[in-house]
Amino acid sequence: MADDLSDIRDDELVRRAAKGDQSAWAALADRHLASVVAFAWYRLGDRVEAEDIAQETLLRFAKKALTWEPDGAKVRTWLYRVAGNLVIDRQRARKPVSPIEDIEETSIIDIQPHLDGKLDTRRVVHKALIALPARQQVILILVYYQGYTVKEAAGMLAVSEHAAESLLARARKSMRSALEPDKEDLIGTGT
Amino acid sequence: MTTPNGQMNDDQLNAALDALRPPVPSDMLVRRVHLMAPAPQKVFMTTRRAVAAALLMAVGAATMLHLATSNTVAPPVTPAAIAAISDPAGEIPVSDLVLGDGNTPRTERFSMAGLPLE
Repeated sequence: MADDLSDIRDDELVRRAAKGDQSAWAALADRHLASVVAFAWYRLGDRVEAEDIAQETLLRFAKKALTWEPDGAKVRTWLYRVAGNLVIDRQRARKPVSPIEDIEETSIIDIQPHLDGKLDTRRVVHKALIALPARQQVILILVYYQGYTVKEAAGMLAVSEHAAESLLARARKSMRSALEPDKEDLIGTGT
Repeated sequence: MTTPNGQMNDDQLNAALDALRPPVPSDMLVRRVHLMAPAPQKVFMTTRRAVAAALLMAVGAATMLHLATSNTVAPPVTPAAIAAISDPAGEIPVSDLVLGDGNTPRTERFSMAGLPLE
């Protein structure tokens, strides 16, 4: 049912959904839900929280759809913005006592070596990703994982393309540094 | 395999990043989100009701306008009491006799005896 609407632009789907077209809403949700879940998951490292955030984001969008301006922000950008704010709320809620940004204390990703002594590559990488400063984290997620161009990511972050490139370079450098201690395990399992 | 300073090269970093695969949204989440479809505001005013409401408003407005413009109920227009005026000599102009009601301003002055003044 939603597949028939796959070629229709977001704005048109929003317009139809706002008029009560259930299939348009379903198509819209199917188009963006996975991305929002992934975006939140990359930033938080927890699937349940990521799904909670995605649900809240889509719920807010359902309300927003009634007054959606077609010439305004793109749907995906709006969703990421809301999801990003909810992620920040979650991150703050995790550390109500200590304002010091210490991801070691706030990350819920527990890195424990397997029984054979090898680290779980995914957990190591995810923990390094979550430890990045927020903007570096977001641009790496947008460009590397979500497939946006640097220019598109720059627009979503409201920075110049040059600044976005610089941010991305710093993010990769930070990741290299963060993964350095586990480099041998990562190279051994990842390549 | 690594950069000159011993860090991971681009390919190795990309391979490490590739290890992260996001979860697929659960079926329950998909179902819940599908149920969140925007609820358009219900239109309680049908066409027939709208016409009736407009008619009522028009009648009300006309009534209000009428009450505003006619301050009091106008007295019935009665002819001047010609018979009560005694004019055996026929000296009072006919126009004064016919329009001799209280609302018509007099332009001609009369003496105490009822004779027109020069």
